[in-house]
Amino acid sequence: MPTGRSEPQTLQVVIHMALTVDDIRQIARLARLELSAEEERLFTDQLNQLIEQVEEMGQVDTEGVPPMYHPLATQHIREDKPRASMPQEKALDQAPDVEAGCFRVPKITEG
Amino acid sequence: MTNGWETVVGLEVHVELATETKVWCGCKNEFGAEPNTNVCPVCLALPGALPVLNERALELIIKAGLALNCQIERVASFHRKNYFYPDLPTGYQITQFDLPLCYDGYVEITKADGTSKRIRIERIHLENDAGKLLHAGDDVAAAHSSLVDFNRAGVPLIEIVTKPDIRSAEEAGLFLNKLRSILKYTGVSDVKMEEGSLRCDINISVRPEGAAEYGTRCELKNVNSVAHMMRAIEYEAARQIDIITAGGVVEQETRSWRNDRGVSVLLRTKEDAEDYRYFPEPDLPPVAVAEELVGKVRASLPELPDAVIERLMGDYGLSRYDASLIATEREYVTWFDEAVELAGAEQAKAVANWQLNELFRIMNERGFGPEQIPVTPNQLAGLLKLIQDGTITGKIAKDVFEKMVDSDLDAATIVKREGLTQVSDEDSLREIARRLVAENPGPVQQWIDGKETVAQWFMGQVMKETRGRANPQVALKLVIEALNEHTAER
Repeated sequence: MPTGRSEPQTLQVVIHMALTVDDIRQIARLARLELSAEEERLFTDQLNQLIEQVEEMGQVDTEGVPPMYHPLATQHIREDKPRASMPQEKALDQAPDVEAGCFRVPKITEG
Repeated sequence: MTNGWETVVGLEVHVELATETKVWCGCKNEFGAEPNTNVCPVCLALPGALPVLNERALELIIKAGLALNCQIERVASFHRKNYFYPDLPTGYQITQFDLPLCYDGYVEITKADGTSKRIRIERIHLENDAGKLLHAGDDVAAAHSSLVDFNRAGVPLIEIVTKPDIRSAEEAGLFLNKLRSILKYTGVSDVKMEEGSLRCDINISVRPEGAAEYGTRCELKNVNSVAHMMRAIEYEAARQIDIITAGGVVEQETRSWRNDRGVSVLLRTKEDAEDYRYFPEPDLPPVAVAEELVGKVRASLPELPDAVIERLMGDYGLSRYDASLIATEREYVTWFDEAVELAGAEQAKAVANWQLNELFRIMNERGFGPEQIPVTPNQLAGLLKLIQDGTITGKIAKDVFEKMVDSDLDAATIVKREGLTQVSDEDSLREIARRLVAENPGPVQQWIDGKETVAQWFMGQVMKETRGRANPQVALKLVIEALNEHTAER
């Protein structure tokens, strides 16, 4: 839960420390991915290469430049008017398991 | 605030906005529809679908912010909050992070002892609701599988976050009721707790009275009624005080309130705290909030509960407590104002008494909501006129009022039909008084012996004989006359 109103933040892309295998395990856990030991090493290397590339941007002097949230300055907004929704059959069409007009999902476990 | 301990509470209140459509797509925002019929590629998160902000949702959060005395951010910018749960088709909630649309507001509460207190609002931000999970089994833990209905996914929500300014279950209850009133007055939300349109998470800690530092807090999730919230706060404060007095340490935890058992249970500890990886929402460019829009919304604000309370106190001399009871619902205020308009300002206190005592009691007994007020202001005004000109007694008036609840008839018609007109005719009342004195030598002897309250007893008998229709002052006067005559004759 973010608190209060804070100064605008940007993604912290400038990471000066290389990722470790433990970081990769944590990211995989958050993404619900199961990686083999070999994959963990592979992705650690690949992600570190990516970060190195992105880090080049850190060389640009951004002192006093306000953060940009989006490259487009368009005002996309719509009127509060209902539009037709999908029929229920179509919404459920691709679901692997359906019951009583609902998507059926396996037992939920926390974490 | 028991035994030298102070409870510190902050609330996160989620409120569904009263829009026609969802916040990022044109599907209907509607409660109780057939499952998965108000869904589309956007709210089901089908590949390639893009969200577009609902103009009305933006207006309503600004309205909430202004009504809650907040500053308004001049840009609506959104972040993704990432987590996996089956009710969230996108795998993230679109919400606001560093720049909530509203910040630095407050709500004023009036306590039972007449003092008022300001509860500060830290921020209000706009986000989307998730779908609804129906568990096959008693609860999440016992369920073998769950059913998902995405009709609610994408419904606009505002999250109102308070500062930790609340110090008791009572204050929390007053705050939530006041918040509810304000959101209903302004039409920001229907605030139907039974339909889940207002839900609340509670942050709570305890500390020795007078301590400067806050204690470690726990968060109680998903409390959905004022009564449950007050009970949950009392339970959780006692649980934490017990831990500390037993020499233990309160751990920062997220807990779930189980109202059926009256306990909170552990959901997760600080170590397993979620990592939501917030980042700016690439699918929604920020929207500038124009000065005209804020001005237009400000101009559309109705008279709010605090202004109503001040007006009823200032114009009619009502107590703060009575005024705040009338101010809880806009419908009650409209009813009061119309009745006073019809009956005259000098009758305002009488109107308030009838509304707060008789009307609210009857509505309470019958389970009527504020939109089901069973007596019209016109009916009450008619009744007050009959009391004022002495046609009926106050006691009879209560019966007439009850009868008006079940009919559209005006008071005069009911009084005429039922023969309830007050008897002020001295001759017929004198006759009854004399007869009663003659028939009751015992009480008369007590009167002679100096027991003056006997006169009241005789007056009661006269009222009984006339089925409450006798003018009480006249009856008392005649009873005393009759007693004196009788004594003199002896």
